[in-house]
Amino acid sequence: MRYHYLSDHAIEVQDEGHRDFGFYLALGNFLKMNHLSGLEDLSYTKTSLAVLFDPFRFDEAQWKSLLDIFEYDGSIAGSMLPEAIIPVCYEAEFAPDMKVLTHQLGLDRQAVIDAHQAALYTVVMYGFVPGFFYMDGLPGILEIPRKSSPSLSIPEGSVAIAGLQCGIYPREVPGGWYVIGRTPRSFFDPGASSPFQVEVGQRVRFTAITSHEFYHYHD
Amino acid sequence: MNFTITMIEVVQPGTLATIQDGGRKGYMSYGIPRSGFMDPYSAALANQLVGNPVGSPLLEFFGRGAALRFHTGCMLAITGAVRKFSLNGTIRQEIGALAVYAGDVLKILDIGYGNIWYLAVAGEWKVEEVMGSLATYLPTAMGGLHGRPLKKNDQIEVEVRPAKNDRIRIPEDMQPYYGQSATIRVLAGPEFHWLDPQSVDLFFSRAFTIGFHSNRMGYRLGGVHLAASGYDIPSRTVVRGTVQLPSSGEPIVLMADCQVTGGYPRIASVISADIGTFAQLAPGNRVRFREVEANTALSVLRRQEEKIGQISRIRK
Repeated sequence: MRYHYLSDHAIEVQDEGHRDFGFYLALGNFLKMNHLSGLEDLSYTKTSLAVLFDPFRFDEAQWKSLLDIFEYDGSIAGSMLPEAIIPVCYEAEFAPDMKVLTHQLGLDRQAVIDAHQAALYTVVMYGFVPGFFYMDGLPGILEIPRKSSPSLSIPEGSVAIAGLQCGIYPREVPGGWYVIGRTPRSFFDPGASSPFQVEVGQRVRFTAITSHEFYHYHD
Repeated sequence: MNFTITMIEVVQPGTLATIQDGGRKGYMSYGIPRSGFMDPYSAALANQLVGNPVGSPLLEFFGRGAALRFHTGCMLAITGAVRKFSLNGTIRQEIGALAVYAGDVLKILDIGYGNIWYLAVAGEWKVEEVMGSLATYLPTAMGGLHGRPLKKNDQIEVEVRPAKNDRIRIPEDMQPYYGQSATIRVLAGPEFHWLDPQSVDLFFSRAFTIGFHSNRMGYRLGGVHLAASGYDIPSRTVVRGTVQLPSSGEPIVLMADCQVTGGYPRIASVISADIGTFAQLAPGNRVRFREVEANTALSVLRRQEEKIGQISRIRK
């Protein structure tokens, strides 16, 4: 398995032979379970795993031997969790980019909503800003490149799409994805004992709600 | 032992004051930046001088102008870029630990070269942890005191330990030197070979200028343009010290508050032992880079750890 150092306290596995996020997720769990010496943090992308370590405790020989014995059985941690159902209000006040999106895709609004709701998504990584998670599974008919210039402010809870992915903005930030709705459900509460509501590997579905339901929603 | 709660009152916060600690560990897989001390060496000195573990919370200040009032007596330490401060109007210059008494006001008068200084207090901070850390992450208002910089009239509670000594000076050889320029050691990054040969020469031979749009997330470098065979990578992990090269050709060195992933080639990484010296460079200062091997990075870091460890012997 191919790996390289990112710095004096981080090492990265990125292997052309493994393009599946489930592989890296399983590897990370394996390293944790087998007590990789000095392990401080795991950082995943869709096609890589980085391990941050304490330079005084990391042992490259142990690292190598763990990589050697690791076998991926194809299972995805998190996929056994119950599907997360995410309520979304697609009404105009929450969907600032719907108009330009329907125009660019040549679809009407209802077709966008139906396609978005019909799909089953998988959380593949967290990143971008704290609590933002990327979901694979966006139907091909909704595929659209990122905006050429990002919006300066996207409200918290916005459900947005770009490429073949969907994501939810955990708080107000600038962003370049197309916002098609908003969820009243909170997915990131830094002060809570469990700050995150979904896990990598978990399946996700969206269900449409009205603005009345949005404003009266309780977690 | 008796414990007393003291209040540290912010009389003036100066340019930027935040609560920081050893950082938020174990949450990168949820996109949570690590944050923490910008200059880990000076922060560790401050904590060790007052007998706190090295990763303990303290106050981190950028620039001069800060003033603090202590509501009860306590032992504190000042490290980093401070050159001159006053205690109740009396000018002092020594960097190290000192005892203060109820009502004392500390003012930072001159920070000389360098950009960041630390104030540690012997004791335990009564501030709520967020995901295991008190580090302030400003971009999403997380941790520290309500996720924001300290402001005038803020009060921070610390449960203080009685002082053992009333003054400890840092030995000369342990004081880091901060100048208006520095040579910083780096390791080659995973996309180092994307640099064209001429740019490799430029990277290691020319001085870069620290840009004015530098902050706790990253320091922008200017003055030299580098060229690479590409400027986009799939989203990949970045860490403190990562040197990224965006298509502008001007590198960015990622600092304590950097995001967990990035999409630019990672041409190099600043070694952990030099990240504090680098952090102390102010906008307009200059930096040169020198390549070292991983084992050098580790041995320099080990020497630094040993130095920090000597403080606890001095305290006894």
